[in-house]
Amino acid sequence: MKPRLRIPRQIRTGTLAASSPGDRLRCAVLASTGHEWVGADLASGALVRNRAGGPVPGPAALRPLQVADVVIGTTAEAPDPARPEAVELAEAGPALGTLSRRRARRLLRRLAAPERAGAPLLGRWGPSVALEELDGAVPSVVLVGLAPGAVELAVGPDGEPVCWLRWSGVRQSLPLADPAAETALGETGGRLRPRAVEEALGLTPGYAVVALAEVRAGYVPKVVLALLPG
Amino acid sequence: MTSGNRLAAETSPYLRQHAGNPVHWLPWGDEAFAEARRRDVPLFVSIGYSACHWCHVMAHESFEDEATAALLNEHFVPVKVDREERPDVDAVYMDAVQALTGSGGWPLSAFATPDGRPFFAGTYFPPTRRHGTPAFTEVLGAVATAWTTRRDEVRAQADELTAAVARRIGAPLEAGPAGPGEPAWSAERADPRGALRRPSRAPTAAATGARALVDAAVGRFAAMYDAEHGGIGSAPKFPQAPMLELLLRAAGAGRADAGEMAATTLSAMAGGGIWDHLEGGFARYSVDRAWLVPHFEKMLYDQAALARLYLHAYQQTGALRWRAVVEGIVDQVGRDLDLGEGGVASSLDADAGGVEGAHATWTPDEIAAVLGRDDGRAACAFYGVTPAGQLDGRSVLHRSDGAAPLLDEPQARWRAALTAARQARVQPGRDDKALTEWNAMWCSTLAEAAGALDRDDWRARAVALGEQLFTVPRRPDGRFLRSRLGGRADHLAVAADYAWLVDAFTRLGEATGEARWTARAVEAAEGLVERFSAEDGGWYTTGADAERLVVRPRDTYDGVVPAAGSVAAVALVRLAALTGDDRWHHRAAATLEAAAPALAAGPLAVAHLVWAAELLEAGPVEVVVAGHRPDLRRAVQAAYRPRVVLAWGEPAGGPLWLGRDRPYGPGEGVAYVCTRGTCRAPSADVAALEAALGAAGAGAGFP
Repeated sequence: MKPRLRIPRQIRTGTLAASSPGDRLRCAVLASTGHEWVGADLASGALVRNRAGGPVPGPAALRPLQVADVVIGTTAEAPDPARPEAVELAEAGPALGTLSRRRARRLLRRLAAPERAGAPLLGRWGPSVALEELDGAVPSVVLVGLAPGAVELAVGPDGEPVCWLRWSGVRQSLPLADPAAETALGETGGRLRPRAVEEALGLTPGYAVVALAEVRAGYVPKVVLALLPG
Repeated sequence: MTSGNRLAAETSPYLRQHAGNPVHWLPWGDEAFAEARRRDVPLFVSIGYSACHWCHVMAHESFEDEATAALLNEHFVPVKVDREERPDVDAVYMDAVQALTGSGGWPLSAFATPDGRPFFAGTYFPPTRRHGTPAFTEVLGAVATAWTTRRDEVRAQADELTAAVARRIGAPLEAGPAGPGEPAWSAERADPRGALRRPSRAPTAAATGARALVDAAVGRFAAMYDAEHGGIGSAPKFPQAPMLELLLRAAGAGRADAGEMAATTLSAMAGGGIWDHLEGGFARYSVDRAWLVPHFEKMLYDQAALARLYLHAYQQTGALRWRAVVEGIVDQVGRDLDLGEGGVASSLDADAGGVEGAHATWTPDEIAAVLGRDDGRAACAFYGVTPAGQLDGRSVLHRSDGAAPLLDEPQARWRAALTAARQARVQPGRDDKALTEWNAMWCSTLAEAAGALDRDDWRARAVALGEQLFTVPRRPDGRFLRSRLGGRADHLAVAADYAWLVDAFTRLGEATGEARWTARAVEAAEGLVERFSAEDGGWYTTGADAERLVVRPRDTYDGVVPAAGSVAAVALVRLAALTGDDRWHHRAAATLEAAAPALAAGPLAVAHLVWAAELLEAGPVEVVVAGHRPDLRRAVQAAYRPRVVLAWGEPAGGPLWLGRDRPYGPGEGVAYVCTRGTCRAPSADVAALEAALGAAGAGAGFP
């Protein structure tokens, strides 16, 4: 029998409720790309990032806003200062269900970082951070709320997809790694204005999962891993 | 006809480059005016500078051509001017060309009556008619004919144009443009089509508090901001240090949007081709909006302004890549421009062996020849080197990874090998004249960076340069001079020279703790105020004792280099705090009053002057470290604190040291933090000092 899916009414964001090998976390999936997997631990509200990158091994690939149990594995590697939320995720169970629109909205609203005056995205100004500057003190993944009609997608000068969003009071251009958005952009090949983004994705983006991507030649770019409905 | 070319004995390498022309050039001066009057012919005033690519092109095409030279010699008195030596002359004729054509630049070609009043002007003229631009010889013929057959019209035009120039750059700072003929902007200096003066949330002239000025300036920057590549506008893009400094100060006061725009811009510039990824240093500007293809000349003033900017960004954020930019610039200037006892050279040319950027661009094959096939391929990907290239089939090294200029292995190894290979190429020419203004800028930056990063070697270099600046470019009566080369100094210093000397000497005092530098800053400040003050509180470019030009110009808007008045205002507020002498405070306040309409109409165009407004409104934070406490001194200098002035070491006298210069034993001492005449309890340890500085608002651009 399929277990009953419970979403706590109150989530106090904080550190993981369980973090030892073998512990089981019930997570809502926030982003799942070929290289990254990010979920929200429903017990604590902490964002969880798969240390190994990519989808957590399991019976089926999990999609954003599905809920599943994941099991913490073991690793001999030292904590990664570029990704302090990263934990070794050994396996994921099957999807226990998908958050309804109302529940998803309630969860995301609680998880989203407030846009405070003077607070840069992921603790640093600018589109990227040098690895040497990361000491594990700032988060590597964050959920940000988006103003209605603020998201545009485009193919950048180097042929890579980019997402335009507004944060810290200024428009920002970040690499895009959301598979659905990438596909939508690939089909048009040019630029998707806000209304076209909504039509192509079938949702109105209300939140974005923004993370420090994997290290490349000593630097860590900020990247949009997922666009989620508002 | 003028007999012979008289440029061989000039101090300016740029002028001497033209000593072999068949054109009978005279330097700017009475001899040229007298000759024009004697022969009853107009002056042809050609203004350029050593690192200017198109100046060299026009010289090669026209000034080296015998037939063109014969025309010039027969119908004109040709006068060659180095704009860097004579910014006052340049200002007058640049404004004339802007009034006539709506734009300006160099080479600047102006025609003037024998008394120097301009009546026609342009920039580069080709040797043959091209794209609607008349050939230079056609222009010469037309002007000569007009002078001969329509003299009254020419004189009337000269009167009208001179009056227009006087209204525009000789008048007090005004908010509004001059009306018809309002110049399109030179992106490097002045106000882009009035764009900077178009406030997004305009404060009124009557109520322009510092906070409102900063907010308006940030809003204006945001309205023009290129979110993809940073900076403002499209192309060309100049590194606008004063505006970016303003963003950093605003960010320090809690404006995250300002910090984001600054960081994105600094990151894009450090990754673009405008940054020299092998040898360090910034080129003067980028011809595209992505900072990718530079105009390759490297100017000392850019290195000074941008090293300071990146230093402040590092102090504010802790981003190591920005400290690496500072270190890269200091290394580059020390290696390529430092002339030892001759000061610091002005610039490196854009051309090498007659080809723009030949020394700094690459093909994949050239990379592979140095690094081997596999490393070469990887290095090409890392530095964006492609077969097509970005400049005539050659590539400008750039990085899109966001970490520039930091390098890991094997990239550091690649860089060393490519640098060695590049140094074997033909190198760009160097303009060896040492300008007081730019040397003082560099000295000021080096002194501040030495304190902030605790680099004794940089401190020693700054002190050596400061000693030169105080003693060498001077007349026996003490009057500072602007330019020197090979032991000979020439040309009276202008307001910017004096203003930067005040700034440099105060910074040296803060970097060394030696009292003599404050005394020297006072001496320079007295010369500045005495010779350059305008009646309304503003500043003239030229001294009261200088040659009388047709217009006595004033330096109005900040460009990549701040205007003299802006530099003076900031330096004098800081000097007032260090000396307790209200003369300097009042003079800075008068500068702000004179500039109030311009500040209210568009503070982004006078971004450095806004800093003076912030300092005057909130008051400098005065810190005295008495005794022997390098830990306290370092704590003050390490962080970005734009409102702090620091006294330590040798007591310099004045109210700042009253009751604080008692003897201390080794390792003993305390720090005093005061603002607006109120002092906090002395701090005996770093934590207490940090708390006192925080309480005084020392970290923010404004409270």
